[in-house]
Amino acid sequence: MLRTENATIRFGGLVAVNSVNMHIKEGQITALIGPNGAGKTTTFNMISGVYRPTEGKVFFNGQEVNGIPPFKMNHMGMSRTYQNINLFKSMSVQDNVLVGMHPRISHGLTDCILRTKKSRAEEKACLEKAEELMEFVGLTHKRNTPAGSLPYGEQRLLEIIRAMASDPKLLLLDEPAAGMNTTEKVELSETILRIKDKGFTVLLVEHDMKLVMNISDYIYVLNFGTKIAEGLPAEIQSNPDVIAAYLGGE
Amino acid sequence: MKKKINKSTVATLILLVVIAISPVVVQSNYIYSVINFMLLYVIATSGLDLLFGYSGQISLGHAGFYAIGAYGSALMSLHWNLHPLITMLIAAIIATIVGVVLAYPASKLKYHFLSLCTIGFGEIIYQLIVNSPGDITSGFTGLYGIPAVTLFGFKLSKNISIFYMLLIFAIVFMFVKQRIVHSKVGRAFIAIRDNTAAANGMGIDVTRYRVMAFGISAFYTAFAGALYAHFIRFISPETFTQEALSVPLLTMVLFGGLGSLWGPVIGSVVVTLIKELLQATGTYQMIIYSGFIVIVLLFMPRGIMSFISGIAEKVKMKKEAKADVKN
Repeated sequence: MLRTENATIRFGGLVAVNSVNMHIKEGQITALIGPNGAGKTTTFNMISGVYRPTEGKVFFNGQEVNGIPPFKMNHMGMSRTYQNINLFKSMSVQDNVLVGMHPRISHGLTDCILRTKKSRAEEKACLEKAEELMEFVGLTHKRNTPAGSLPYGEQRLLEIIRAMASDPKLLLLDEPAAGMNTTEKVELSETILRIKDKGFTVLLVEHDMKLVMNISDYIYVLNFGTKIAEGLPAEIQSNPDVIAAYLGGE
Repeated sequence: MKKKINKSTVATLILLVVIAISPVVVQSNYIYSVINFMLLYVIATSGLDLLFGYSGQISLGHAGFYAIGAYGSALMSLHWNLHPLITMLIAAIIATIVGVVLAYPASKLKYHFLSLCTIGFGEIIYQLIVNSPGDITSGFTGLYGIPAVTLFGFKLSKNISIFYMLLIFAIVFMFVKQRIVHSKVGRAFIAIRDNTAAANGMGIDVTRYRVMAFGISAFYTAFAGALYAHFIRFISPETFTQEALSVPLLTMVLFGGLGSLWGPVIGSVVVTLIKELLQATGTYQMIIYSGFIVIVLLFMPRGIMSFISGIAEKVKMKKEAKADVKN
């Protein structure tokens, strides 16, 4: 589904991501882990089109996508959440989800003004789908609440369903568990597994080892911008390089 | 929810009926001239609100669009003998195109940079009017004898008959604004205003929608300008300067409240009223007016609309608290 080939990003003299090869398979949960400053989020931003790789290539569904801006990547079937929550704060929960559906709505300005049959039908379908998504994470009773006044954990959930709203082929989750307590984290892992069951392919960037080990099908480990290991969760757990990177051994 | 909608619909209808039959009671020509100005500003500021309040792009050059509407429609109806309603429409479309062309580079700018850019735009249009090629705009002398709008054989030259026409246009423009706001397009505008990076990530073509907001806004304001030309029937450059128009329009929107249907209406009515009432104070007019604006911005930074709804919410919460205590 998604492949990177020697993808490298340099900011001036700093090599943030160094020649990383990754392959994300359809229908799986792939995790990208690593200590702070390992280049996880930079890799993420490169995949979603925020940064263009300095060298190397990114392929999505067999097509080279280097330098394609984020909104077009979304149209192509890739949607994401943000590490530092980026909701539309003044908009209601429901409207946030509806904005997520934007790339799947085909009617234009004139249809909106004249409220044509087409626009009414599409809006109705969108509202039904928004309803489903809000129910999926238990936010139905807060549909009219401004996103900015939700508790932290619920804001994270809203980010996830907003990203799911465009029916992406690949869903990118950037540290979805950050700032959550243990109970919320357990619920979150269940939610992510349910997302997988719905047929989504997920790329997960996460700090929380337990969560990653429990739900991932395949793991890539980055340190100082370089891939130091990849494999199944059990293999990663016993990999000496990974342990060294995390515990700071020689 | 349903009950609430009905209530506000009824209130709006009553308000409209009162406004529509008011000429029977009030027959002063002067009052209708003031109200007509208010209605023109309602249209212009509704457009500015779509741009500034909803898509989050400031403009200090909307006098430019107003001028394109006024001069465009006036010149076309004077020289080509077209019906004013047609020339108004063409002039507004021209302004939309100008707005779109301006917005392509301008939509990359933010805050003070965008302010400066739009000030520049307003100034360019002003200079073009003053020193037009072949002097078609007659410079500071202005354009005289702009035809009044005729509808079904009636010449709309009296303030009261113009009032009805402007009222209908204002309602139509507000209605269309409401439809845009509560649609995919409106949601995209607000999303861009709230968080541009996330809007981009959610598949919204930010440049396209910013440009669209500029175009729609230009259409509104230019149409108001065109209506102005056929209402006053004489136009000259001093009406279209930044101080005389761009800043007041922005003041009205800020004053009434950004990003709402009624905010620009309240802003237009109150600011026009204050200016008229202060005419009597002569030289001190601008000082009092400016002081007033400063006070309002200090105590109601988000405009009258949100000030009122804030009070209403507090009252509601107190009521609920009381009810809770009783139970």
